Amino acid sequence: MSAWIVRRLAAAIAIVLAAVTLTFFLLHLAGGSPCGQRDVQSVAPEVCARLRAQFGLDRPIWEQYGKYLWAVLHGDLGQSFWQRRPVIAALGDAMPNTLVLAGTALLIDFTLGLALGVYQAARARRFGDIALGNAALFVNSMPTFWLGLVLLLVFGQWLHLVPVGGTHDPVLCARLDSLHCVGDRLWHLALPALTLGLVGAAATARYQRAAMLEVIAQDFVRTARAKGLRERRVLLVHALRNALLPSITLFGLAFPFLVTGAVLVEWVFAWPGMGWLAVMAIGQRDYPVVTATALVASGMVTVGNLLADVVYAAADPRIRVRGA
Amino acid sequence: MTEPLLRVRDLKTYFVTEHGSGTARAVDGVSFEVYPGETLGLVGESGCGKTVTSLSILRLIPEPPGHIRPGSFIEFEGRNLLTLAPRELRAIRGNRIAMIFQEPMTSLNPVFTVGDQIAEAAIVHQGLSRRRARARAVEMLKLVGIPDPAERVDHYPHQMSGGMRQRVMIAMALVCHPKLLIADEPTTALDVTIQAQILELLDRLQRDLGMAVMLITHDLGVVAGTADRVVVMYAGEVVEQAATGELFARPLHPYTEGLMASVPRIDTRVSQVRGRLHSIPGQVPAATAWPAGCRFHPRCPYAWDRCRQEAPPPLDAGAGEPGAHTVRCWLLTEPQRRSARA
Amino acid sequence: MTAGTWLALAGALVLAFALAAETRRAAAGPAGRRFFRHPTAAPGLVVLAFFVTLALAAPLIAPYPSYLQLDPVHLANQPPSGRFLLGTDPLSRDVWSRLVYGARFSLGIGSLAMLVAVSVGAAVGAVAGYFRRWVDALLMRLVDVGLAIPRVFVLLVVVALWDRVSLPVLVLLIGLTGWFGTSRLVRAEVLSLREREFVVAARALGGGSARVILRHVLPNAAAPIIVSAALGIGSVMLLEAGLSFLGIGVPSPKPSWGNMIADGQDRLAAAPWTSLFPGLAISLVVMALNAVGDALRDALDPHKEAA
Repeated sequence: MSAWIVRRLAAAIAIVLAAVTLTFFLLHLAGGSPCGQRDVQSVAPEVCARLRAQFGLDRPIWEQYGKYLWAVLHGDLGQSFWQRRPVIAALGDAMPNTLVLAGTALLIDFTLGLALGVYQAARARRFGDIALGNAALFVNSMPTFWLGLVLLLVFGQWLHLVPVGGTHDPVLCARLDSLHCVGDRLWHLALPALTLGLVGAAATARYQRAAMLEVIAQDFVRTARAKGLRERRVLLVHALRNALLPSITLFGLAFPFLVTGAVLVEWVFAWPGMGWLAVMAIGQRDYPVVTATALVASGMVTVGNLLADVVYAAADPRIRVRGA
Repeated sequence: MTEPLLRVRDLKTYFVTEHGSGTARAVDGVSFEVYPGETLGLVGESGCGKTVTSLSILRLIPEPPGHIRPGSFIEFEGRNLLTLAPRELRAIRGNRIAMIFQEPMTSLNPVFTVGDQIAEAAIVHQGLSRRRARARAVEMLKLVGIPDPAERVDHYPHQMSGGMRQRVMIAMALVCHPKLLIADEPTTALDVTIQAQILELLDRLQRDLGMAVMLITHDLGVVAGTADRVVVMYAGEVVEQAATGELFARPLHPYTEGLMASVPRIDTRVSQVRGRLHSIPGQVPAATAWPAGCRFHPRCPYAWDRCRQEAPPPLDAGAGEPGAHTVRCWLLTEPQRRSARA
Repeated sequence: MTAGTWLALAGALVLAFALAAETRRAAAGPAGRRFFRHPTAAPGLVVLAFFVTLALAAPLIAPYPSYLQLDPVHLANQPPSGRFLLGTDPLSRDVWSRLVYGARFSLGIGSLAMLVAVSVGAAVGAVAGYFRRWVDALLMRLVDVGLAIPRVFVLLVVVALWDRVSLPVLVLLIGLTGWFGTSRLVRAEVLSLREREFVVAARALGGGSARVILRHVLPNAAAPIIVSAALGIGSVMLLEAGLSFLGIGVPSPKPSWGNMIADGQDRLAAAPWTSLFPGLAISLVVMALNAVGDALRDALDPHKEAA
């Protein structure tokens, strides 16, 4: 199995490298200097030439590429025009927020999705299953940001149950000790995480229901019933353990969805994560920040998929034991 | 005679077909008994309702699409299994009545060790601690003849061969010392040499543990060596039942005759087998549309008008006690027709 | 709303039901039966037919031009009423009229971008599957990369680098970042087809590669392509809505359901209808597309069970 992990790791590194290359070429195509197509009139040609030399843009392209690669490898993603500090610093502030949001959403996605899927499979083709199935289909068809707005309207504006944006209340947190501020932060996290988690859970539930139904039809489930086990134990231990294996793949698929969904949900809830940063940066014409967020997002998706594959291999005794 | 351990009366298990277009009468009025300590062979071609009968006993029929019709009656140790509450039924499943299935490859859960799967029933039914249950699992593996049981107990099913897995299934079924073991085609999926070993094992365990065995098979040869009594099923009904010796000496139903004629005997030479292995023409009809009259008449060499119109009841063949040998065939009323054909 | 626009709306509804009923009558074969066996297939068709009719007959059905600011002082944020079916937005534009015209942008961009994605995906998949060897290896590694980079970020980068993108460019961009899944599907299909007798025969008769692919391989891989397209339009529409919501998709004042949601965002509590109805429209259409796509999969690809 270790050879397989090495191969899988190499593939992941190649993908990230390809993403870096792609951003480099996009940057290059767009001009990639303060003298790009933008504001050309305002910069004198001599200044432009000097700047090009200063940024190394007069060098051959492969040399620029090498330099870019070297810089990215060292965590140097350039300077943010808008925030006037290294991009990596801006990302460092935004990334934890995104990770907290995506992590919580993932938790909601899978606990809720698995529970619903198992419940639906246990009541297959009866009223509860059909009603939940259609509800899941509808939620799965909603634009994530719109669901966010609807939840915001209902729970924030009408019921005043939750705050309407941000990660915490700066005034409140300044007066409280850090422990109480955690509560406030969780309070702010609730709606955005629920929005992202619900849409994910709808997809997870559909998948989990199908996986459970497939397992329930198998012979070993009948064996478990013939043993005199409670139906609950048959479903939650014997069937679910088998149906969870394919769901690990779903775990890998959830990462692109979460990273993408986070962009819009962060924007709706003014949650200063990477997506929010990227959209703000677009407004500020700050393309080093935008490209850096794209790079980091690709990296997160790749790492997520890698993790899912490794966990899958570790969880399935048919793979684990044979390979050992 | 002793009281039967299991008494099945007029069992009817029907299935609603896929698009609700019809009803498959898979088991349609089956009655038989199993006595303590005996081996009963349940024989018939595939599609004649043997497996559904055995699943009905433990109420393992998936509902929907299946259901056991009201009026059916399955009595075990004096209680009707069909009216038990789920909780009482669970106390019988795997404990008083255990079952092993045809496919050892798919009947074991791939993500648990065989030890866990064997121990589970002991934990649930006898309240053993995990450690004692594990020790019991090792004991059971040894009992069913698996080498290195202390090591094998931690293996997963995919690490074992088909024969080994069937042994594990048997160990799992017997861990609570059931009074009745239902074995549904336990050897069909296995190699011929392994088949004999498994049958031998079942035979030995039955004697050692003093349980009754209901052996379901399509192979009369298997029954001949192991069963005390035989029930022959066709098209959802019991067509003949008798003690094994009596049945093989005097098969009365044309279907039983046909089954016997298709068993290759050890003493026939291969060259002879080709010519003489006569199987019954045609196949079991669909359970949604059993033929009218005697259900076997379209395939029966003796059939006459009465067979096409009127379904025969179980008739007593008059060997020993009443009911010891019964046959669902009009030939019993007009035996001259048999000799006329022959 | 005038009597004429009410009549047009009623006409659109009737037409939608009639179209769905006619489809059901025409599709009498086994594939048609498998399609309509899905309880959600027929309602899905009605919803789709209704919104397509809205898009096509927008000038007849919409009571006002979509750009028209009726009276920013007195008629902004009006609640739904007989005059303004779905209310007015903060700029006093009729939400219903914008929704009707918005169907043109949302459905149009969705289908055109999917057309681009499917064409590219089918071409790449067919080439990879037909030629195999290094061509296949190279193209499939490209697909791996494409699938690993979240689309939204690629589009964000492009928008950030090139300022405004025109609508045709937007369609191309969405299409060109969405073909990876289709190409994998088509490749698998082609790999299994290329060994089949009729393809082997066509090659033996000296057919050129392009000809064999176009005439013999792709038509036989049509079923999975159609199904993935039907299921893909929904996700493309959601993506377009997201981009427009962020202000980098369809530019205001052109109405797209995504930017209409953004229009109402600031006055959400006071005038929720501006954001609610376009979102509802997207949800309905995407759900209908998913339902029809699932049913199509069963109808065209019966061996592949819907998940």
